[in-house]
Amino acid sequence: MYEKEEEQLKDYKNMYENIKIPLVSIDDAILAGFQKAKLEKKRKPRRQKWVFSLVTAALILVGFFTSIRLSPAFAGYITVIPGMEKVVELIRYDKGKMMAIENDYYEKIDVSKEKNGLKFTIDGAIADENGLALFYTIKSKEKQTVLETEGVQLSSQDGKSLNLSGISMGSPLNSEKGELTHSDMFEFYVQSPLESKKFELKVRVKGKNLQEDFKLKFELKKKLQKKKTYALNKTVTIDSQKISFLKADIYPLRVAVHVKMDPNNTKRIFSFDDLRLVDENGETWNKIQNGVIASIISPDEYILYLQSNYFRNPKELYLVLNKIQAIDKDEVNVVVDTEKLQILKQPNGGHLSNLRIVGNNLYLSLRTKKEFNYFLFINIKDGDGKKIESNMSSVNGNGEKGITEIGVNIPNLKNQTNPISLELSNFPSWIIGNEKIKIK
Amino acid sequence: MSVDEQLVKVAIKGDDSAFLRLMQLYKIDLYKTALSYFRNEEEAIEAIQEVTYRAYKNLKSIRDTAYFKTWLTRIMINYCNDQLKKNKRIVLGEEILNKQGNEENHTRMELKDAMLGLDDRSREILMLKYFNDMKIKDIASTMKCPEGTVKTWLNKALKALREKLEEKGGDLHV
Repeated sequence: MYEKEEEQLKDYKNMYENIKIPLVSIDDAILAGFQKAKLEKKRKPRRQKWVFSLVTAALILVGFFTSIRLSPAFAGYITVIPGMEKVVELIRYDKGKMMAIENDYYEKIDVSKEKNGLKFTIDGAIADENGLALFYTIKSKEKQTVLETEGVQLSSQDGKSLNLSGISMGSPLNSEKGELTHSDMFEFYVQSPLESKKFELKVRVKGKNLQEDFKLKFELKKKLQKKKTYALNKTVTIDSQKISFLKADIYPLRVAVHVKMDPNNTKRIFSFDDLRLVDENGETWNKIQNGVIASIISPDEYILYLQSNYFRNPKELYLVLNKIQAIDKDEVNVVVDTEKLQILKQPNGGHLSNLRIVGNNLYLSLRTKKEFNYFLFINIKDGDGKKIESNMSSVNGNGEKGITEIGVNIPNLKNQTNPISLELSNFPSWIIGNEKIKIK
Repeated sequence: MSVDEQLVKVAIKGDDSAFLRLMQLYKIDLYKTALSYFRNEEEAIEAIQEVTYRAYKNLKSIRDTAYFKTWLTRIMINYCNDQLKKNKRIVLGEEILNKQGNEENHTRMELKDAMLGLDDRSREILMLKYFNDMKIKDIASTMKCPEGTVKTWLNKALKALREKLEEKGGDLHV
């Protein structure tokens, strides 16, 4: 009846018989889609990350679409080593840590303790002089809908202080149907070089109806690789703002770049959004994607962290940047009234809204055109100008709607004098330039 | 049970490498299907990424492991249909440009235009049957309806296609 149409349809199909198939792009796309689904499965519904920091630090939450595309070879490699998959899952947005694994710098530890049906295992670590990433798995005999870790402490078995600068915790498990295991990682960073190799980890695991404290001893046997240091001493000017790059320390876990701003700049410089390392072949290492992205020494002096290229030895290496978050210095404070639930002052553009108080936590919604997963504030002061000590903060991204929920923990919130002033450490406002600084 | 079917079973149980192997098996057909909707490589690649994502997220919803390919192809077609709605004007605009530049593919382009003008179900049936060479039985199973219904839909789709083609032909000869 419809032979002619059927013929045409078949002919239509033939048109696609001899087309060029971009196999590499297709494979990349498959891996990217796969990773996106994996990542979401892990992080949803609540992508919240709390960081406990002893020195002021800026932090970022990994975005939904920012994971690195694994090379098919690497994806193959991880599937043949048992237990490695869950580790790689956690670091797939960090090229430096992936390279550490590829270079056999990951150390298997496999120490565990069991208490009342709950088992905590330290799977392994990647360590250097500057800190360690510790991978762990919690196993439960019964399905858990929530599993969180808190009170995380790392100490040296010889009793000497580790002089920690910060701990970055993973995301809590949040699953409606419940899970039997949860894997994540802690990152510990130290202020003076790590000397001890025998440690004790204390951690409290909390579920809906359970709570157990664990104490585990472990030892690192691998030799810690020494950092590589390069002096930079170069000043660049972007949009009339002067920025000096002092030095770069390359560790296996991350690269630390020391920068200093000219005190006479009219703008406060925040995050170096696209700061990256580029070698002579154009290979690129980006910023840390999840966790601590900078240590803030003062408003005009930062240590910025990048994914490490420690295990490569390029002939030439450059720091490249185009886009920096910056805001006029008179706009750096957001002022809120926690009784009237009002935002009294905020930078131009009205990005912040919806002030809420839940217990001792203050929440604000940040509206942006594109996903913006940075945490916003550093210093908090009460109505009398007295500093409020707050060392817990959260970012809860919902990139699809362009709204990020920012949480700040303010101890004894009800009794603080209003208005409360929050000093920005990031904001969706940028200056643009084009700089390339030679490292080597 | 076929090897593919076994792979599907293992993938549903959570074996990621099995899932990735399945995607490898069907990637070229998926790509061609996407390309037939978009005709631009970038969009087709984007579609592959999104379909991989959706397939992985919905793996557990597969009822009959024997029809994995049909299931996967339908995810692609649904995605393409959604995208078409979003970009309707742009797609048609490109089509016209392509038509002008490529006389020899005139009939094929005309057919593609006619296909894009069909309702979603008709287009889906024709794509499954003629573009992906699927059997009525397979289509009926994944669409969860009797074979007779699929045949009726298929006839309606072919009729609608003929009407669109005649309409187009008419337009061109004015």
